Amino acid sequence: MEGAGTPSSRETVVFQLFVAGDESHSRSAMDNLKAICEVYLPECHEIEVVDVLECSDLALEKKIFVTPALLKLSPAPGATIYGTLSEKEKVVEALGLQREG
Amino acid sequence: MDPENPADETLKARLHRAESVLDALRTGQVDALVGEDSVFLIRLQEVEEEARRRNAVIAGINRVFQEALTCETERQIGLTCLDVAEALTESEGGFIGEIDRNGSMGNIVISRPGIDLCRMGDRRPHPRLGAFPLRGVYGSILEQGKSLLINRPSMYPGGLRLPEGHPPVQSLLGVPLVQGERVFGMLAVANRKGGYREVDRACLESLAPTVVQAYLKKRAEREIQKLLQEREAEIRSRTAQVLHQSEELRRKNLQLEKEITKRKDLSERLVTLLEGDRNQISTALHDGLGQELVVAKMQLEELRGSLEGPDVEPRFEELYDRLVRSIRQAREISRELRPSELVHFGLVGALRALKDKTEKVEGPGIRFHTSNCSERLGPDIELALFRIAQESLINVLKHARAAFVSMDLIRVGETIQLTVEDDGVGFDPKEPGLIPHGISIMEERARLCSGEFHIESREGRGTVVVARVPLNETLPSRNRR
Repeated sequence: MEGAGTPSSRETVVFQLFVAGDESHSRSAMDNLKAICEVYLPECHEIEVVDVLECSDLALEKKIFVTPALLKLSPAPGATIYGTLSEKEKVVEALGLQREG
Repeated sequence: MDPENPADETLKARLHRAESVLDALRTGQVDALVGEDSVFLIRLQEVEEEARRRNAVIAGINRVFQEALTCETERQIGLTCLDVAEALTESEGGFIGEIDRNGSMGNIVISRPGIDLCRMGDRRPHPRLGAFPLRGVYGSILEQGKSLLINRPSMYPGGLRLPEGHPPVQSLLGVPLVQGERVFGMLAVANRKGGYREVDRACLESLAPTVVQAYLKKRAEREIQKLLQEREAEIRSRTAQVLHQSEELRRKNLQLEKEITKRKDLSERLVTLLEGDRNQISTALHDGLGQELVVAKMQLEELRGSLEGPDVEPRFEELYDRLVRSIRQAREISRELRPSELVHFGLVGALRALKDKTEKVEGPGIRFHTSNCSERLGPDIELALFRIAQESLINVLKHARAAFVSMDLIRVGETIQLTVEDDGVGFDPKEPGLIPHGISIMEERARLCSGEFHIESREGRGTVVVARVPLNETLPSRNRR
C-alpha cells in the first residue's frame, strides 16, 4: 500500500492498481499513475497495488481480466481504466480529477 | 438486481468495460490476461520489438559486409560500422579504436565533428584524439574484454577524463573488438536519449564480430595488395636488369661475330695469298732463275773446247755438274710449289706422285688407298685436299717418327674424305702451343670448301688427320677466283 495519507481539505481518493509482476506495461502504469497523483492529488490519494501473478482471485472478483488495470474505489463515482495510463488527459477525465486550487 | 435480466445501465457499463479492455489490447498496452486458473503474460510487443531489433542488426551486418566488398580503405569500412552502430543504438556519436604497438589506443574512425575542437592540457589541438593511454572506462573494456554500459559517467570510478573541449558524454556503451583470444580494439557509442538499455548492449555485441571481420578482411586485402605491388616492382626491376644484361650480351655477341668474320676473312686471304705467292715463286723459279741457269749451262758447254791448262778439266766438270743439279733443284722446287701433276693427272695422280716422292726421302712406308675417286673434282677441292695431304706428310716426316703411314681418299655419295694416319709419337691437341701453324691453314683450306677438318692424336698413339669436303657445294671462293 502506498500513498500520502495526511489530512487535507480534499477527500482522499483510493485507487487499486492491478499489475502483472514487474512487466513493462505494469511498470509504466505505476509510474504514470504516480505522476498524475502528484499533480492532481498531492497528499490525498492512496494506491493499492495488486499483483495478479500472486493474487488473481481479487482481480477475478473485481472482474479484472487484463493488466494493467486501474480501479477508482472511492469517492463515487468509481472508474475502471485499462492500459499503461500513458494518455494522461483521458485518464484525468475518466477519473474526474481537477487541479488543486 | 436480477442477473438473468440485467438492467440497461448494467449492460452499458459491461459493454463499456469490454470496449476498454479491447482498446487496451488493440493498442498493445496489456501485459497479462487474468483467467480463472492462471495468468497469461502477454509480451507480444516485446517480441515484436526484439524481432525488429534483430532485423535491424542483420540489416546492419549486411550493410557492413556489402561495404567491405566495395570500399577502398579501412577508414571507409570503419565509418560504415560506426554509422550502423549509432543507428542501432540511437546514439549521437561514437568511435572505433585500435590498440597500437605501444599499448595505446588510436582511432580508426570517429564520428563527431565537434570532437576535432578538443584540446590537450597544453592547449595544443588534439591530434584527432589519436593515441591515448589505456585507463579508466576504455582501459577497463579493453583489459577485461567485456562490454560496458554507463548511463551516469560521473558515478563511474575515475570518470571519463575527457579532453578539454570534448562534447559532454551523458551515457556511453562500449564493446571490445575481439579477434580469437585477442582484444585488438573497441567500438563505442555515446549519448542515447534516455540512456542505454541492455538491448542496446546486446545489439552492439551482435554487431561487433562483423566489425572485426570486415575490418580484418580490408586490412588483409590491403596487405596483399601491398605485397603484390612490392613483388611487381621487384619483377619489373629484375626484368629491366635482365633486359640490360641481354642487351649487353647481344652487343658483345655482335662484336664477337664481327671479330670472327674478320678473322675468317683474314685466314681466307692468307690461304689465297699463300697459294698466290707459291705460284709467283714457282713461276720466278721456272721462268727466271731456271732459264738463267739453262743459259749459263749452255754457255759453259760452249767454253768447254777453249779451256786449257792443268786442272781445268776436273774443275770444269765439277762446275758443270753443280749447274745441272741447280737446274734440277729449281725445277723440283717449282713443281712442288705448283704441282703440275694436279693439273695433268688430277688429285689421285698427284697424291700418288707425292707418296712416291715422300718415300724416296727416307720416310716411312706409305700405303695409299683410293675408292670411287676416278672422276676429276673441282680444282679448288683438288688443290685443298692435295695441300692438306702434303702438309700432313711433311708433319709426319718432321715430328712423328712413324714407321708406317696410310693415306686414304674415299668418296661416299657426294662427299670426299681424305685420311692420313700414322703410328708415330702423336701429340696432345689440347696444348695450343703444340699445334703447328700448318694445321690452322689445313683447317682453313677445308673450311673454304665448306668442308670439315679434324685431328685426333694422343701422345704415343699416332695421329689421324681427316678432311671431309662436300662435292655438290657451290664454293664461294671458287667463284671469286
